[in-house]
Amino acid sequence: MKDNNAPIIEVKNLGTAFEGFWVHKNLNLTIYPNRIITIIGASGCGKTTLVREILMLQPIAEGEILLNGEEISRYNIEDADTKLVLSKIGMMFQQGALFSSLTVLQNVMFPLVEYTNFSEATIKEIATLKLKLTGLPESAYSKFPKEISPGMQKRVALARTLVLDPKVVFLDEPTAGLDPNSASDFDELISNLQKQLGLTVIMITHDLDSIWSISDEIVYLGEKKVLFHDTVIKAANYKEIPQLYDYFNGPRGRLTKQAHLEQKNGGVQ
Amino acid sequence: MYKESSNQKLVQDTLAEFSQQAEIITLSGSWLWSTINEKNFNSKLSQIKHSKLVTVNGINIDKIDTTGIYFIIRLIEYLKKNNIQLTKLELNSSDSKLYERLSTQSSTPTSKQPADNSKLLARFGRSLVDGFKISLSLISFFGLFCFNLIRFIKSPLHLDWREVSRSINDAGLKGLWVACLLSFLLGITLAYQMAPQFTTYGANVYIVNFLGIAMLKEVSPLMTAVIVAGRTGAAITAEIGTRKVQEEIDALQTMGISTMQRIVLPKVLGVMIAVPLITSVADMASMLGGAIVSNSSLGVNYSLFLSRMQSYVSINNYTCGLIKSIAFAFIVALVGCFCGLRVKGNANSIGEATTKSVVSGIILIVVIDAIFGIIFKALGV
Repeated sequence: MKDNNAPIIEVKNLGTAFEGFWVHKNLNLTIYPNRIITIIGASGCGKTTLVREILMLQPIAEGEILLNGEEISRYNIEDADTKLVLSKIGMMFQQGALFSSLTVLQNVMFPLVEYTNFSEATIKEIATLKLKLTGLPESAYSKFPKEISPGMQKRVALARTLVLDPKVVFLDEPTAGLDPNSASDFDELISNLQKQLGLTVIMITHDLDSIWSISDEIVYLGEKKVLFHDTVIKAANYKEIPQLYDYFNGPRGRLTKQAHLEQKNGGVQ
Repeated sequence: MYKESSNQKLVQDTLAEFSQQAEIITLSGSWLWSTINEKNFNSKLSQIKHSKLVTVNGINIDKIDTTGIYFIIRLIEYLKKNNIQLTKLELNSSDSKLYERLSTQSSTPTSKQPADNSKLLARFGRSLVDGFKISLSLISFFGLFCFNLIRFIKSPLHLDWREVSRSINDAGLKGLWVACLLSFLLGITLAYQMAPQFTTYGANVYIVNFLGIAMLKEVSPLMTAVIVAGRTGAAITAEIGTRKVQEEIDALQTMGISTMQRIVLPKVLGVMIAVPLITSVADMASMLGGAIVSNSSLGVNYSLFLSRMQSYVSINNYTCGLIKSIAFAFIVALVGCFCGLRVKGNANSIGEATTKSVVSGIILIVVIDAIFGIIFKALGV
């Protein structure tokens, strides 16, 4: 972690309104590169909305969003240049959002076919390379998304997200709906890829195991803004915000916390 | 898309380049997906002079991503293939880590080609067999429907009557205006086209007989059925298809509730009630259209038109049309449900199923119409 790096994403005084109701108001968030950040908060507090706004899927009411120091929130979405900026951000949707009419390999090839002039053989090989990075067995490449397991679908979705080498990757509930083994494998995959490719990973999750095992920082959303932004261990012991404290120290949270703290201390106690 | 974008103000990165000096290949520029030109790369590759030993120097690379690493791997594989020994690959520490991670993965994929179905005859045969299979399953679907119809007749209160009324509303009330307007216009057009023929023979009043048979027996039921196939048939297929994709149909099955009873039967009954009603109104609209033209260009005034209709147009024409419209409604709704239930779990197949439902619905309507024509002729009505 290098704190002296320039921030990769800055959200300044963001306001979002849905039919006269403020979802975010004066929200400020600064994200530095090369780490895994988890956004948490109660259901309906606008986590996904915030991510969608950074991805320019949703217009904002006030404030600004900067990517690499460039204000992106006012860009015209149809502009070719905007698309290029957007290719620096990748998003993995909760359900994978794989194109159901394309095979796994074609899904991963798709962005390259759209964006580059490489020959088809080259694109196929690059896509294969990415799929291999995510550890997907080769027998699945020519199958359709419906024909493979949800765990594999997530891997394909991740490969497709990574195919244009984004600097920032958003993951919406990456481990939701996976069995514990697949979930921890996927956590490991995210953590490895983050280190190898130098990514900034921003994830939304409710999976306490994921948070403890791979997350570097916690962003807690509440009362329409960011209430807390620091390391996981500090978040778990922060008592000023009762909801946040309960999040990590409730009946479920306590068990996970203990397990991970013991693991970190190498079972000394 | 970026491919077509001419304004590249955001691409400040230099293009990927490499050059050879004696035994050193120097890589420079940015090796990113946006800056690598494959043609350029290939032509440079073929220009490499074949010496025994070569060092690849990648220290000067500005930026690199996995696509860039892929091209470096390709460069090295090219060297291997041409028996050029690579003495050293120099990369920045972080780049070389990425290179090692990726090069261990790299091997050309052994992708299987899908079965060759480009042969014309084979394709034709396959589609014939598919068509036959679909017809068979439609017939078995029809059988299942009849079986459920008997169950419904035994205990009619078990049916979801609210669903039936919703279906009547969707198919009937909302489609009423379109059907009426079309029939009205067809009445006008037909009468107008035939008017010169009738005046030639001075048989102006026979326009009423003609319109009575053509409209009530043939055109109105057919037009209404085609409109219902386009509106309601498609809607039924899309609705059931979406429910199938969202596993609602499976959920019903796990609760032990019959899809036929719950979804198909109310829809089919609703459409079968609604369509004869619309057809009746459309009959009136078409006769009104005909009467207007008869009055204005044939000199057959409204009272003459009405009295002539009463005495010379048999009620059988109307009942035949009504019976046909019930059969059409049944076909449209049944095919709509059948196609909807055949949807497989992706978004494409809903569109395909909807198209199929409308097309086969209309084809079947015309076929049934012809069969009815023969039957009515034989019966002498």
